[in-house]
Amino acid sequence: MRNKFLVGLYSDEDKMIDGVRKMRENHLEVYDVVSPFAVHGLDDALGLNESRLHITGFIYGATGLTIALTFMSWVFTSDWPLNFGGKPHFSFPAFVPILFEFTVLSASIGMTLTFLLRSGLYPGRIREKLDERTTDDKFAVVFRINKKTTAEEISKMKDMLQSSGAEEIKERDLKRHY
Amino acid sequence: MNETFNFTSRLKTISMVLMLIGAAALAGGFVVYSGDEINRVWANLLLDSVFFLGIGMGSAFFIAAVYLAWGGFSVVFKRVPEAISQWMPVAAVILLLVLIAGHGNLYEWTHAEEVEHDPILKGKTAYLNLPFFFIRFAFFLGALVTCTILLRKTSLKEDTMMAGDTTMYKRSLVIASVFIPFFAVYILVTAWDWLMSLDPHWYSTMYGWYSFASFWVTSIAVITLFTIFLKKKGYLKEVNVNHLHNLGIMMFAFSIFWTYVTFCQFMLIWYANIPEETIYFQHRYGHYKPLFYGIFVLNFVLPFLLLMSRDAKRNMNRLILVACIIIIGHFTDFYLMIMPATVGDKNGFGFLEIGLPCLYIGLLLYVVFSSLAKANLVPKNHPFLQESIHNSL
Repeated sequence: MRNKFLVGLYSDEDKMIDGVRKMRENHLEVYDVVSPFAVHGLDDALGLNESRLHITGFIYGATGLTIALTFMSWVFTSDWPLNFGGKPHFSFPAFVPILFEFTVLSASIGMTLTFLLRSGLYPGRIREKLDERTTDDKFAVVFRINKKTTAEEISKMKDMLQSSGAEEIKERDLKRHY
Repeated sequence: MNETFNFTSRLKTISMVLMLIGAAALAGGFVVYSGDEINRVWANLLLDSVFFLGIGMGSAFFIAAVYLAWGGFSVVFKRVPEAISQWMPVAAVILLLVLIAGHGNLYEWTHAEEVEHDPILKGKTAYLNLPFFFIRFAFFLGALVTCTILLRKTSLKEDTMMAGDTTMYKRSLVIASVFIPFFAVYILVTAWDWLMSLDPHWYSTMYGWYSFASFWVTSIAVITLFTIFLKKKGYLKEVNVNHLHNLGIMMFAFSIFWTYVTFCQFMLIWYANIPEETIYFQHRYGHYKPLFYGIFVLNFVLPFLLLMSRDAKRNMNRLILVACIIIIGHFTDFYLMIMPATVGDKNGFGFLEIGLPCLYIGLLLYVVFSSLAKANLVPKNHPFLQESIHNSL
């Protein structure tokens, strides 16, 4: 199935943010904004919910902590107890650096993989580009056009894009979600 | 933008009452604990003087560090750390008096006849001797206090300048860059002089970082409390949830930093297991076991869990709670540095330990509120003022 998108390209992020705010005030549903860098205040302007990525980070960290503690305790107390300078087999202070590192490792790798999966960035994924210049110096405001979108709405979108300073407005026909 | 803090008579009364309670506790301490237990009074005086002087020094460091980092976020509430740093000269004088009067009771290395028969202490006399001890104190604290007063003066002068004039900002940068090296050296020296030399046979290279981390996170907690107090009283309208979020991040981050250096010190000594090093923790483990574990809960576990989420850092009441936990926790931390070395098993938690901090809190409140009342609460011509107002996280 092919999706139609209406794309407005801006070269000034302030104009783009103001535009997005106005469009949302006028009850137009902005599908997405593509920008070469993270723009401050954009989440707010788009009315996005807070990311839940950090919650997964906590869960991965806690899991990593538990795994590391369980594994080390098992190895040093029952599987292969060794005498290190007369210290007890369960030497918690010696475990702490490893617990810390493993927690951070699990949280970071887990969060990265989750982020990549949720954004659909797994290997073998072929993505059609919305516009190559959005990786350089252009900011794109994207509307999705489906069967229900009336011609009136499309012209309103175009007007809004035009009036808020979009330099180029075009329709794109992409195979999948870009 | 023009708003000045009104040091109401109610606040004045509160600080006066606190001072009176503290003074009564101090006098009571000298009466009750005269004789053998007099050390307990001196140890408490040292504890409170060092702890509260650290708050002043940490606030001055906050201003200087933000200047040098070209930081903008704190400009709208900059007068708060500035006012707290004005407490530093007062606290320095108090500590000087305590050290002059109490060094014989507190520090073993000041007793000439004991040092004579102790080869380790004899070897350290080049550094640990009274004249040099006070020269260090006067030289470094003199420099820090001078820089702090100059920073305050330039900041106040900036308000009277024309808009867009950055002369005073540049001068502040110079003063801050003089302040930082002195602070960097002296914060380590303070730890050796005031705290580590209570156990003169023992030494640790992590000790300076350990006490600096404590000073620093306590100062941030105090700055947060004062800022929220002013905000709740209806002042500082430009301070919004983003600025508090920044302070929350700093409290969270430096609580972890404290844990990191504290644990580093502990683990190296625990691992190596050399008797002359482990003796420090031996003193702090047996009799003081609840506190030894307690500070990890108060200074790490609770701030870590309570401040972890973004919403928590943007919630004033949560910040107040965590700031109080951090202040109490680090007070306990200093208690644990000082008490085992000075009073040993004869420590306690009585009217002196509760009352004496009131004296310092009363003085601190009085100095901070009167300095806040002297100037506009928001700096007028700071070049980063707009950046700070539009700060968002």
